[in-house]
Parts: sequence; C-alpha cells; structure tokens
Amino acid sequence: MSTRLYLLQRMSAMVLAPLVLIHLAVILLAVQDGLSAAEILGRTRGSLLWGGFYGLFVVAASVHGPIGLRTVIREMTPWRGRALDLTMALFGLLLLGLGLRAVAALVLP
Amino acid sequence: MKGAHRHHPAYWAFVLHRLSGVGLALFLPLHFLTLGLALEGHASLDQALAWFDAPLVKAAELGLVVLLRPTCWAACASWPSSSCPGVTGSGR
Repeated sequence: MSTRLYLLQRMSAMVLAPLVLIHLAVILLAVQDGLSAAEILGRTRGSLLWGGFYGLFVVAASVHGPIGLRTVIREMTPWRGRALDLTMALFGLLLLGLGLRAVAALVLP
Repeated sequence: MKGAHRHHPAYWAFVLHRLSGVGLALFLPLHFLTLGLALEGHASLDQALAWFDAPLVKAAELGLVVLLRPTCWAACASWPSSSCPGVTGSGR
C-alpha cells in the first residue's frame, strides 16, 4: 500500500472509531422502545448535529472501506493494477453517494 | 513448522479483521439504501425495518457487530495516545 493510502486509511480509522462506538451506543438505546421510522426520523429530522455526525461518518467510511477492501483483495487474490484501483474508487463513490443520500433522507425536513 | 502461524493470536486477529472488513463493505451499501427509503416516507422505511427484525437478519447483524470489535480495536490503535484497553503501539 502506498504511503498516501496508508495515511488515509489510518486517519479515516481515527475518525471512524469514536463515531462507530457512538453509533452503536445510540442503536442500543434506540431499540429499547422498538425501532420504527417515526422514532428514527423524530430524532434526526432537522438536526444539524446528527447531519454533521452521519455526514462525517459517511465520508470517513467512503475513504476507509475501499482502501481496506483493496488491501484484502490484493492479499487474497491475484487482482492488481489500475482496474482494481478504479473499481475501488468507484466503490468509494458509490458509498459516498448512497451514504449522503441516506443522511439527507434522515435529516432534511 | 508449516501452519504454525495459525496458533498465534495475532493471526486470528488478522483473519477476524479481514472478515469484519469485508462484511462491513457488503453491509454498508445495503444499510445506506435502507435508510434512504426514508425519502419515500415512513411506510417504506418501516417495511424495511420489519424485514431487518427477522431472526436470521438480526443474528447476521449481531455477528457483524461482534466481528466489528477487532476492526474498532485496530482503529483505536491508530490513535497516537491510545486509551483503548490492551492496545499499545502504533497500530501497525
């Protein structure tokens, strides 16, 4: 892995670690009364805080996921080169697009 | 000795980290697609959430959260002054 990708992977991991722990804690609290669209949207709609939180989450995951997947594929398969890099870049863009759409769905009034 | 590395805890941490990573990479797009259903209204999201309530899906999610531990552990090791229990070093 190049130094640039290694640093991006580490920095995104540093951002993701606390966000994942908070996300899991929120889920544990939220599911106690049953999980429903009304409960989720009641908490997130119009909230700049949750919008920022999950927006950051999505950006960090979109960087971290493809780099990690690229590493696993290179370790486990003979696939290398630009085709792999391009596929992972597209996967990152897919995650970013779907993730930001999900954040918009949850936060926008 | 061939395969001796498989008896080392670090090897299994490595395997679990890879498994959780691939599992999350597959799970995230589905998770985002599900949450995006809120754009279509409460009913669509509720329908998807009901599907996620199925025992098999819940078991898979629980497995993913359990597998997430080594990933989080590795991420915690990235912090320069890590305060995670049992985590030392630079995370390499």
